[in-house]
Amino acid sequence: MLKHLLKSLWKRKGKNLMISAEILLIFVVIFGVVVGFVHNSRLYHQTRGFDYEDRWRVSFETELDVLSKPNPQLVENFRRSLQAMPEVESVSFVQFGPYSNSAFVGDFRGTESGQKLSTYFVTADDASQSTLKIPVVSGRWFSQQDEGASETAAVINRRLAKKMFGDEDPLGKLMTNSDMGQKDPKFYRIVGVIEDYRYFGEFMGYENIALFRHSSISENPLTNLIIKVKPGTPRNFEIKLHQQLKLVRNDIEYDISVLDETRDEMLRQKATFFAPPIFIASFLLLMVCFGLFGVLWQNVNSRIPEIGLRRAVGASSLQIYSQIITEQVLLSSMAMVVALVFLVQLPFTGIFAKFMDWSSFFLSAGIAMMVIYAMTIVCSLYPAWMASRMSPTDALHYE
Amino acid sequence: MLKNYLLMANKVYLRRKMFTLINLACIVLTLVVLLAVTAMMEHSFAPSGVDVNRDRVVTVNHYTKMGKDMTMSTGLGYKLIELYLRPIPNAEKVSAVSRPIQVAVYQEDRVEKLNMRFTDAVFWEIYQYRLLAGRLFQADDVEQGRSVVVLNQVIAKKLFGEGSAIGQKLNVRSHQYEVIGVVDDGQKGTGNPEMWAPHSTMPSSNYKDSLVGDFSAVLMAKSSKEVNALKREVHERGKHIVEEDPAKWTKTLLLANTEFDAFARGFSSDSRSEDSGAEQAMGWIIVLMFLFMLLPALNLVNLNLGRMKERSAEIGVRKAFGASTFELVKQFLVENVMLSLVGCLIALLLTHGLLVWINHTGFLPSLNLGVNLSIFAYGFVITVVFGIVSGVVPAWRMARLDPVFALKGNA
Repeated sequence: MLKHLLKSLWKRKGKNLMISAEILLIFVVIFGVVVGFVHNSRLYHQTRGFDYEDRWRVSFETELDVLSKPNPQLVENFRRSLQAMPEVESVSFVQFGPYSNSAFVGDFRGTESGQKLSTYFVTADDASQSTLKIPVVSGRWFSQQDEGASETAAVINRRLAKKMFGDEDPLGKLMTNSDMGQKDPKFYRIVGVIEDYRYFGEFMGYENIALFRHSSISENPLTNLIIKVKPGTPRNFEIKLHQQLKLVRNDIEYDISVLDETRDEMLRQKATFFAPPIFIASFLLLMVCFGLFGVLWQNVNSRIPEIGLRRAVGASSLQIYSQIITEQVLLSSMAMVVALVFLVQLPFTGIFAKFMDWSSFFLSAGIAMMVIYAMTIVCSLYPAWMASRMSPTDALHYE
Repeated sequence: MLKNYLLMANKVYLRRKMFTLINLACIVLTLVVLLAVTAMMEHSFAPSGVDVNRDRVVTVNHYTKMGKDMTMSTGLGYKLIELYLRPIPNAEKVSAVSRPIQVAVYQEDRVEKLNMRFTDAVFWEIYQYRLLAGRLFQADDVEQGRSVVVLNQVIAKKLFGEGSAIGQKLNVRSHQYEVIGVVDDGQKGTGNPEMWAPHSTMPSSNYKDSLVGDFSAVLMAKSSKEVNALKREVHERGKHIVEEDPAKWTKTLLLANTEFDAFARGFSSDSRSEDSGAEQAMGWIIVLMFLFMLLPALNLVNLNLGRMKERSAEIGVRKAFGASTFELVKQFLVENVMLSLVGCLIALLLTHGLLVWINHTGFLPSLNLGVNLSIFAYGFVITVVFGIVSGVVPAWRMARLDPVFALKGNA
């Protein structure tokens, strides 16, 4: 039977070639869109490493010099003044709050291993762990006991610990941002390991992250406040908060945002980014559907004698039905196999290693195949039904 | 004759409703997409509404300075606009507009976030905002540094409801402003709450002494023909900016862009070339539109060839009675274009619905997109092209059927 089907496909190769090319194209397009989807949904389900509900961010916007160098007194004033408010549970200073899109990236290495690793580094204070609820895997968060140490205390994420120290215990080890033999290197002592702190939000890639303790010797001023408020705090708490901040320093401009809203905005932007490819893919898919429909219709029309003959020698209408559908499914499969021969190069060569590994390749290819098969079957139903209804007498009279 | 063709077409199309439907769906879908794209492009780049002078306005957003091993690109400083851009002879009007600053306004127990821009009185001459109440600030207000603001309707409604906003006081960034005017920016329509204040009320008073800052310059040429000369002039003057540290910064650069240039630059690899690549971008858009039509057109060719079989008897009879090939080609083309035009009408309605929906969701920063006369005209042209492209091959093949075979029904 299969041989017979292949023969009849081969007979109409000219017609089939065009529609196969269309199917190949749409398969590749859908595959691409699905890869993007799979990649992002995996990122989305990774550990975020902090909580965002009931947390507010205040950014300082000013051209004053007060913030360009550490100012423990000012920090203390802010902390005390805000903690006095009944709605506020805890207050912390960080260099970049969650859902920000600015970052510092630098090369760091362990003092014992020479390998440099590109790392996102953020400065944060002792209270940030409890304020953002950053889960610590081993060791501890930095605290007052690190004050006065010769190296700045650091907390790194699990990925960086693995890359920098392999299977060794990273706690108590030193890391540095300078090359061997450079003058005046900076050293950081690792006191804890966290799961992660993906402060760009859910779609941040798999990065190495280090948090350094903010203290009187660190040089990064902290211009972001993270405030944890009591659940159920009304939105217009912002007015009260603003007044309170102005009481501390009247000459600083404050930009207040709610992390919930910032996150929604980020998700909305992501959705906007995905809209055009999805739109284009669906349009092409519909067009290929129409095309397939037209081709199948012609196909059935020009094969009336053949179908009549098959009916006359005893094929049931169901058999005709399945012949038409099987032929088309076979044709789609061939187009997809050709496409996969090309696509399989991607995980092999690792060109898009950042977005795709073998498992997501198979998943995406599987989903794209499902879509194409569904389309193929839906489009063949009506023409196949027409063919199966043909009465053998009419068909044979066709000449 | 045409009446006969149409009657015939009607009969043929009603014979196989399912396929006619698919045919139509194919046409409608393609046209809706093309029309929506056209409408968006027209909205973004053609002079209309607030941007009534769009065809002769260029903006300079970045001041780039290049040193030996570093390049710095910033906004323009007020001093730079005053010294190098205002004196340009072919610029009829020059305005300095700061980039929008996100500010929060605290009214009694409400918080409203909005975009604030600092600018001058010329701004109101270049952009035609419709004044709904009060007045716009004048050159005099800017010189005196009066704390006045103009709001757009979006934010005026939010802050003061249906009551009059004029004369109300607003506290923005610890600075007390008085509302003097409310404008409607429906045509520009970002839908965002916006307000404008004289640049002399900016918090830092030394903004006038710097070549770098947060400003963009908007220059209006005397006519649309002089836009290119104006662009060249800006570029030329940009080369001769005197930096405080000429040893460190050896080259300086200013680029003036029309709205479409700015769009085209988004795709160009060289952000520092004088040519924005606008022509290539336009070319690409047309090519893409054509490619976009290709797949549906191929489908229609297939569908139409499918009808051949059914109509072979009709073709045979007409040929036997002496109809020429050309005659038949004409008939089939008329049929196809007619169907396309029906599709076009449906597509226009749908496009309108789609655009209204897009405005409604606020997915794209554009309000009041809609189908107007020029879109209608574009749509008509696109449709006829599409109808002919998709009809000519099947028509030709059908018309060339051998009448002997055709009459036997053996296509």
